[in-house]
Amino acid sequence: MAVFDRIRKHLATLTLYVVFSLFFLGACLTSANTYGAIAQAQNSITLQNPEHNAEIVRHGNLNISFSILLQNPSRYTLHVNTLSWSAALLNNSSSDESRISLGENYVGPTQYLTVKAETTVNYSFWTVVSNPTTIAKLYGYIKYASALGSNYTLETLPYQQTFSMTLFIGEFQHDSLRDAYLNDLVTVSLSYPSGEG
Amino acid sequence: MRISRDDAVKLVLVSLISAPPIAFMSFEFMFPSISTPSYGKSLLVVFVLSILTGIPSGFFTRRTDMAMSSVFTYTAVGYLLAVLFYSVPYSFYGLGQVLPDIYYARFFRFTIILLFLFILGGFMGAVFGQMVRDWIRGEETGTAFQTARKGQD
Repeated sequence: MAVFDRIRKHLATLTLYVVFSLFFLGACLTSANTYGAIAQAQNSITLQNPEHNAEIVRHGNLNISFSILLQNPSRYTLHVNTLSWSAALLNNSSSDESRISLGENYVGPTQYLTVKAETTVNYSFWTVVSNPTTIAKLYGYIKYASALGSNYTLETLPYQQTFSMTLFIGEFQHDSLRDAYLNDLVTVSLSYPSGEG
Repeated sequence: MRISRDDAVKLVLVSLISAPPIAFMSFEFMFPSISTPSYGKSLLVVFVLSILTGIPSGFFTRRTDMAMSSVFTYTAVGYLLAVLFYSVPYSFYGLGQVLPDIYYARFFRFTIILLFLFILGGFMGAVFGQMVRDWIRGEETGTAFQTARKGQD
């Protein structure tokens, strides 16, 4: 065939052409592999084993604690953008204060927390409620619930503990204005109670 | 336009070999931060690479119409390859995200500008490739005549 004769004639030029093509094929495969790993990471990073507890400690104070595991089986280090925890009691006995706040914690991007690849990290939070006004509100709620037929103590009240975090996968650049879709791609948002694994 | 078997083989070969640069440029334009290497969504780089990608079409194809046709075919194959690279990962890890969502709409929003640059750059490259080939052939012919004349003298 004339084509194959011409291939022999232009062997050097053709080799350059094929190398040029193979370079981009390699770049395509590498980039698609990265994209696949990010897609897999999005599916595999989860919150596990949430545990919460409330107990009376010294001087009649109330200790509320919470812990949760973050599993990162992916090959990327995760950078914590925001992390927040809060403990509260939903107070339907009063229209003035529908939520009795008991404690909260917030970590922003300036703390530079990271979660290494293929590791599990335990996050623990606790707060000691010692303010007499707050304790009095809790007892007030116990009395209100008791009137409605529910028996609670400080340790068994239905405290609402919420935990949420947003993480960035790897060292990929983020641009909140220009590439909104890319930000979504490398951002992991997890929350408890709704989003645990 | 009559296409011989050689022309068809050449068209297929050029379409396959020139497609990866087009696929990568399309993918990179979608994900500039996760691509390796990355040129940061630069349209100028896309245009220059499109010209480079078009050069072999003109260089290896004598017929201008076939060279132009090969620009269309390798652009089409390359773009399809990019769509494949774009859809394969989530097809494995979350098909639900690919099918009902605006997943492909996000990719195809760049189609017009990218295809315009690929084809325009490809045409320019093909013309340049033909000019280079003709120049080399002219030089070869001149050298052959000179050698023959020296032999006669």
